[in-house]
Amino acid sequence: MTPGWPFLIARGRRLGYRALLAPEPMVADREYGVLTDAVRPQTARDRASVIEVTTPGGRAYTVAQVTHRVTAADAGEPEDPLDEHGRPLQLLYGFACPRTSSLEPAPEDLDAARSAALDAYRRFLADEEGFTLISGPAFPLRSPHSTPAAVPGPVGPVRVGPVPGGSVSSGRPAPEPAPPSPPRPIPRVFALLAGAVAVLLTLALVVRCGWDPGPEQPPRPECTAAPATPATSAAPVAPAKGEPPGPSASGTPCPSVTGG
Amino acid sequence: MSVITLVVAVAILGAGVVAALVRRRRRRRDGEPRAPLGQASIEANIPTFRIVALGLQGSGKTLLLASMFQELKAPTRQSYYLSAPPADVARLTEWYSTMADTSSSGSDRDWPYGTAVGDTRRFLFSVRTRSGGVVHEVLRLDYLEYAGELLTGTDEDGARGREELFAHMESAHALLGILDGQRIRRHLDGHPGGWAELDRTLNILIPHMMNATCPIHFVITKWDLLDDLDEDENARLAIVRNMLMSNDHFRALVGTHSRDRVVRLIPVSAVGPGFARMDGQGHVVKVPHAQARPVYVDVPLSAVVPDLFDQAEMRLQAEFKAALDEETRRRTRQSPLESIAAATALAGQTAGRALLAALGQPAVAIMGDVFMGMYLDARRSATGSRAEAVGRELGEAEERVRRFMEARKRVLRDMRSKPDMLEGRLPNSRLSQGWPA
Repeated sequence: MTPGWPFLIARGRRLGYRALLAPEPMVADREYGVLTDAVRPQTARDRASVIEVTTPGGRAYTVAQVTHRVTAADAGEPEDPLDEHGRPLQLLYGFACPRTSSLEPAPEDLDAARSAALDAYRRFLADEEGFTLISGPAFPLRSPHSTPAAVPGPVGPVRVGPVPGGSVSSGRPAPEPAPPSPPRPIPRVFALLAGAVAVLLTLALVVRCGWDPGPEQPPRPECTAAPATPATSAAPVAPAKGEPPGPSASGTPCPSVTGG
Repeated sequence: MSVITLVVAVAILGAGVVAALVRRRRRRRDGEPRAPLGQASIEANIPTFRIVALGLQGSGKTLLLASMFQELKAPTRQSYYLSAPPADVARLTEWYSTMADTSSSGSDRDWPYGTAVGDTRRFLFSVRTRSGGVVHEVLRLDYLEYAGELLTGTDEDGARGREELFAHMESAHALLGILDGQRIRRHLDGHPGGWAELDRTLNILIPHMMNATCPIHFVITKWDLLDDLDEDENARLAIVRNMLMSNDHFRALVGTHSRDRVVRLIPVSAVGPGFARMDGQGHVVKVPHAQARPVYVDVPLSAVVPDLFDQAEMRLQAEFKAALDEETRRRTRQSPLESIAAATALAGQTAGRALLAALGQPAVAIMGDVFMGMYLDARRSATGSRAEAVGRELGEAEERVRRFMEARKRVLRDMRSKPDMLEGRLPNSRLSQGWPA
């Protein structure tokens, strides 16, 4: 049997919104605040919607919620009750059950939750300051639902809103806003440029370290010659004034790839 | 084949490849739609000011917000208007319509429901103006709408919402203390517990506002409920002002903040005179078939924004110049391949060498210098017919920026005029004489 627990969030004539009735396990763990934060009034009155919440302690719940305007009959008064500012009062009631991947709130369960909520609300209206939170006892859930999912590890409560430009009736976590697009990769032209520079450098090295000139040229001197080895006469570019001498001029061994 | 011949051949081949790539890149770039030069800098330079209205439940925060938007959604009495995302516009309009509806009967004539704890949401308004067929976004306002009980609750209820509210308060650029005109009325009428209710409000607001280093002002909501206190509106305000200033803590708060700036007491009515009355039970009820005519609801924002802008102006100006400089530089700079080609050509000329040596970083003292510097800088790197195009683009950008600056100036001037006009009409709206610390 999957349990369901009723809850009620409402404001009174004087006191502001608060949980008046909360699921037993949430009261025991003092985690009912997650409902006050997540349950928000729906534009469509008296119609159930489903959200998901996870308590700071890691308990995951699926919540069926209804927004209902308090009527004279609900309050047992001759006229619809108003708060001290003349505004109508509303109930945010429903039931919570262990997290399921699907839940279709059944009228019987909603009626049970409503009955418990109205009872709690009448007591609250009768003595707002003296009222204390009621722990909602479990009832057997009759709503069609999937098998309760495994309770995830402790994570923060699901934020049900605000969802920019979207509906808040679904409790599925709102997708994180897309991160700012990363800086554009280096343009392809830079890669080409780097390649061209590499080719030019290679050419320069080839030219400086030696070039197999063909049969009419004298034999190429060894690149890895001792420091005393004279610079090759094939070097096409003399070091500019003030520049350090090139590798072959200093006698520094050339890379083996320069061999032709 | 000699080495020299080979090198020359490779160089010619390389130059050909480079030239082809440059042409291809330029063609591609010219084909892409691009934002006009200067636009990105203008958009990056639009400041966002966070404003928090601090008030208990039922004090009228939501209706003030809805009514303010209603008043400022079009440039009726000022050059600027407020714009918001469609979902927010729909919500604000719904609140206002529910509030302003007196034609229906029964429950349809109710006030909107109070904001629930889970209903905390941010409204991002854009302050805009039109000039010369162009819409200029001048600044943005980040306004938090929340349930007033978050300020007073201490237990599990609304822990997250409270956290969000306090974080918003700490980073706020301005705080508006909302004083409920209905509670003031009850106190002035000698209602038992009237003063206790008002004192509780002050006790909640004062600690938060005392810690604030940002500008603060006070707003009296439901001003229409105090209409019969005195025929003269300024005398009416004097009664409320004297009552508030008789509270030591309130007086100390005003005194503390007055060292830096003006603190105002702004009366507002989201519905206007004759729209609602208090019934025998103390409830505010609508007068059948009355028409909403909001009063002064646009003043609180107008009192806050110009001050904030003055404070941020130096930084904004510097950031704007830097952004503009960078954007122009990026836009007019040649690609690396172009630079190679241009540098080879330019460095080979004596005049080119002299020009490169003579041109340093442009001096950025005033806006005109920025563009002159950019123009010269761009010309330095632009070659051939591109120099002319760059010059033309820079000229257009300069005009675009000039129009934006003028639009912003006009909006701020309009905003400043609102609290000035209020003060002219109600001298008691100035709680203190502000002077520099």
